[in-house]
Amino acid sequence: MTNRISRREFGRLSVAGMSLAALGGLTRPAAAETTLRYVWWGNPDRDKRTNAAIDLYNKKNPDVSVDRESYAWADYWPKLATQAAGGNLPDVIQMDYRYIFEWARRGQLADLTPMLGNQLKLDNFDKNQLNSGMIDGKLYGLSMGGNSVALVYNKTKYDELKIALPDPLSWTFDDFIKIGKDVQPHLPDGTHFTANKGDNESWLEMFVRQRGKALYTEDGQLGFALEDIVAFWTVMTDMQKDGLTPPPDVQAQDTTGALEKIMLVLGKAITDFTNSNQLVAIQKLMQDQLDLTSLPNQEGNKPGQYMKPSMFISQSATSAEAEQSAKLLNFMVTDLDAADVLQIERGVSADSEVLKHIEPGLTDVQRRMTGYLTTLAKHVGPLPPPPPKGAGEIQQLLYPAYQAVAFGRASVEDGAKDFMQRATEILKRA
Amino acid sequence: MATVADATTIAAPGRSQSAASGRAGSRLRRGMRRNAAGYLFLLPWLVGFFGLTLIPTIASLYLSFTDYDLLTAPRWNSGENYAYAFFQDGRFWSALGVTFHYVVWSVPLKLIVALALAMALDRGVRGISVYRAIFYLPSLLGSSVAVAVLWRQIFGDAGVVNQLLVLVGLNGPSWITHPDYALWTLIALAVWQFGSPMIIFLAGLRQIPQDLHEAAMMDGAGPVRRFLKITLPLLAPVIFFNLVLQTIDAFKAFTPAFIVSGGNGSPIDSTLFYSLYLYIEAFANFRMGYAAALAWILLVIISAFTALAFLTSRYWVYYEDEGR
Amino acid sequence: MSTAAATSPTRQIVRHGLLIAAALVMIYPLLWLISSSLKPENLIFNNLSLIPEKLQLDNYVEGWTALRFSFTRFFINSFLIAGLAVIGNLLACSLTAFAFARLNFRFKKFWFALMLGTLMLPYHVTLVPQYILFLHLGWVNTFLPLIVPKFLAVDSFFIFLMVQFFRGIPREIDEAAIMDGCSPWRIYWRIMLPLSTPVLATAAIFSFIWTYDDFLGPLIYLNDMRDYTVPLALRAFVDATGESRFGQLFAMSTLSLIPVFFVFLAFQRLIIRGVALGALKR
Repeated sequence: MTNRISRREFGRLSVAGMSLAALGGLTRPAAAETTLRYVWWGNPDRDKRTNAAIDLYNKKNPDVSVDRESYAWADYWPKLATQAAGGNLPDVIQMDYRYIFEWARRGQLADLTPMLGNQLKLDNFDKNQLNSGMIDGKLYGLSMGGNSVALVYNKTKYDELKIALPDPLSWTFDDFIKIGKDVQPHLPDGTHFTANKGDNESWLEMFVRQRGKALYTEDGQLGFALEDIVAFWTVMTDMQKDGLTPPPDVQAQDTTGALEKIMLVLGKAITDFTNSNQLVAIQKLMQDQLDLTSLPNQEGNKPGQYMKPSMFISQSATSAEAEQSAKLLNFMVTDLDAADVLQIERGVSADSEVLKHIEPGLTDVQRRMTGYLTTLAKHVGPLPPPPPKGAGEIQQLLYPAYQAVAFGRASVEDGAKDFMQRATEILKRA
Repeated sequence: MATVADATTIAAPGRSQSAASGRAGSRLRRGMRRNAAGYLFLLPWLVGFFGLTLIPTIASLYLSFTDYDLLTAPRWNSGENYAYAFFQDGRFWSALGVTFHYVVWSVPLKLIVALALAMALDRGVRGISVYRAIFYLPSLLGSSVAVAVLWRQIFGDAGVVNQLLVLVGLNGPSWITHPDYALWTLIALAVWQFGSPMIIFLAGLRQIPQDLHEAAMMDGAGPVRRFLKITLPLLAPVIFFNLVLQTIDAFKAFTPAFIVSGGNGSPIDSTLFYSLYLYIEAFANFRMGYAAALAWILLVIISAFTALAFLTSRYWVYYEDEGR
Repeated sequence: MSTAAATSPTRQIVRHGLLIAAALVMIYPLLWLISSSLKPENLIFNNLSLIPEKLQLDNYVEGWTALRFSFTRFFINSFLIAGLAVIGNLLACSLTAFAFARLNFRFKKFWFALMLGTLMLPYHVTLVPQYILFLHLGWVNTFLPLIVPKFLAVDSFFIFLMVQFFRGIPREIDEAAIMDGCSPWRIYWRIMLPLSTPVLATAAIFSFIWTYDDFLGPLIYLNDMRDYTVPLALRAFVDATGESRFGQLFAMSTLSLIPVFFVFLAFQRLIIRGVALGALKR
């Protein structure tokens, strides 16, 4: 009797055990050839292009299969960090200037320097862009394209309202506000002149650079003072008071970086803020014609903007397929067929051969982007020092910090003081 | 009790047949067999309790005194996390404030609506099972991601609520992205789920003998008086149960806040439920030690509340078997 | 019970009216969800009528494959996890409850008190260490952290429920079996469980619903979209798409609610009894 029971029990247990083991393997496909994992953040347009490019790579390299994952920006870094902690980072990782130094110094990214000349054929790469991916003399990421920030505006509506934008290289905030005040009475109810981007870290950075400061110093401290952010927020809140921007609750819909939720696309404003390479994706969402111009300047006309690598493609230090991954990296940034698909959605390519190749095929929208960057190049400052650990968190902090001021919960001074204090704390705890 | 031990065959075959040992020996063996049976049945729970509850609880207490970001070993910081939370972390107080606000408003409102409707249904209304089903369904579906997503759209800038308001000539704000209203949309969502406590109230109301009401009516007591003097006191145990359960649930709320705010407690942390803040600190900022400290603080708060509830219940909750 | 004698017809009408109004308000959000899922995109946010002028199933068809993986995969994942969780809970919790309700062993009262204590422990306290444990076991990014704990009787609520129920079964039945020479296992398997179908059904239903709806667990343990459960997929849907795809989002949301709705329809009485069971003294 005992035996029968224990055998039955045992049988049950082993079935349970086997099904558990099977579960563990259920979700992993059997890999016959090399499998790489490639992860990026993006938008639907970028996803489509990237998938197409990877499919091309598969065709050219049939013994390699690539597992792809893409996330929204806000999710990307936590997910990546989790995978890092679990020791299973993807082989190919899209990186951002804000984070690449932190990740490289933590030893999570592979040193690509030995691959130069072998798997990585970067002779045509713009030197500045190449260097931007170098940390402590070693190469950790390949720039996928250059871009800069910009104001994106609804050209169709601007033309209807007969707005004439001044010279982008020298126009000022006064010009900007004056145009807004002239135009606002003629806009329909619910539409405003510009989005209110007081919560935007990039604009804050350009703003303080125009005043000769920086977002962060070389040694990882805040590079600006209370008065700088007070000035920035004063401009923004004044515009809000004058009705030039949507009310804060409407503006608060734009906090995740999703292009579908920016004020321009929602029809709440005819001017908004973006990265130049996103023009194509935004234009896809709208009927009206869009165009780019630079940020308004301050007194003294010091250049605030800079040309930056829009994003990097890197390799994880724990990748089991270092050489294959490097080949994929090289493909994404130098292959001409890939370039035909990717074009300049991630920015203007750093590889001069690629640029030459895709130039004739560029659409009207894309020419507006490259045209903007060419003009802007005459009025830019140097690349800032690498952001310290915690920069990503501070970028997120700016949203509630500014919103408190925008919603009238705190005065500009108090809100700014609170932000500076919390930002300093974050840098200290990092 | 002895019979179980006699009959057990968990022990190896043959042992139970041995008659050679003395009485003390066989009693000991019986005792061991008795314990063996119990413990064998208890084995899964014991493994789970030690491995997934007890040891993690102790570990989290330890972690709460460290800095730990998963990549390097935990670094002892002797209570810095707690000091930071109480004296420097504005977000901590925001999260506590938001959660308290949520609990203090949603729980009573939920219970009042639940009781009111339970009483309305208790009068033998026709079609009671249909009403009951309609009122209960939201509480079954309410904690899902789908409903949170729906709620976000209903109260959004272009959502149904604003469309209805336009019909009466009002222009509503974007409720879910307005710090004054966002939390209220979540409170509304909580109250929408009153069906579960309502069912419990219904069952409790059924247990109140009808003759009490009839006797009171004969004495000329109106409905309000009957409610206050008969219904409420007799329902007190059920009210107490619902109160404790709903409050603890409200403290643990996570999914609605996460979905409606897009995962960050926006706007201005006005929907930063405590659970959400803990999640952000642990899994977005990777401050595991700090998250552990936050968890222990919550545990203390919930325990204090529960203890308080039980202590004060002596004064207003009378059980049937205690006599009055 | 009815005190109909004292209620005037007007009172009745008023009461019915209020009840109907309340029911409509309660059910309106769900009706709006379903109705919007059947409308073309441009009519969702500017048309209040619940009856769609153009009824179309496009949102369902397109939404099903809108993400990188189809919802077939997500539903399979959800049902697999929930199904195994139910089995685990029923097995482990009934074993434990049987031990507490029917067997005697040293320190039983102590363990029982501890088990009741865990009922009050909020999940936050064990969340981080459990994650670290599973990380070291290499179980993160698999289904294991969501299933294995169920086989270890971690949901003490069900243990409690079952103990209450088992205590209600007369001991004479056990004793008769013991006289016939039955082992505890046989009593458990052959006698106790078959008699406990109501509580087992209740536990199965709630276990299914709670696991199916679980969001935080899958959120922290499932990183690959391939492994996503339906709630996780819905949230990815919200993130990945914007204004242009609400119809599809609502369609998929409706579908995600259907399993729970079905369970509710089929087991209404059992569910409602189970809710009350946990609350009232027997």
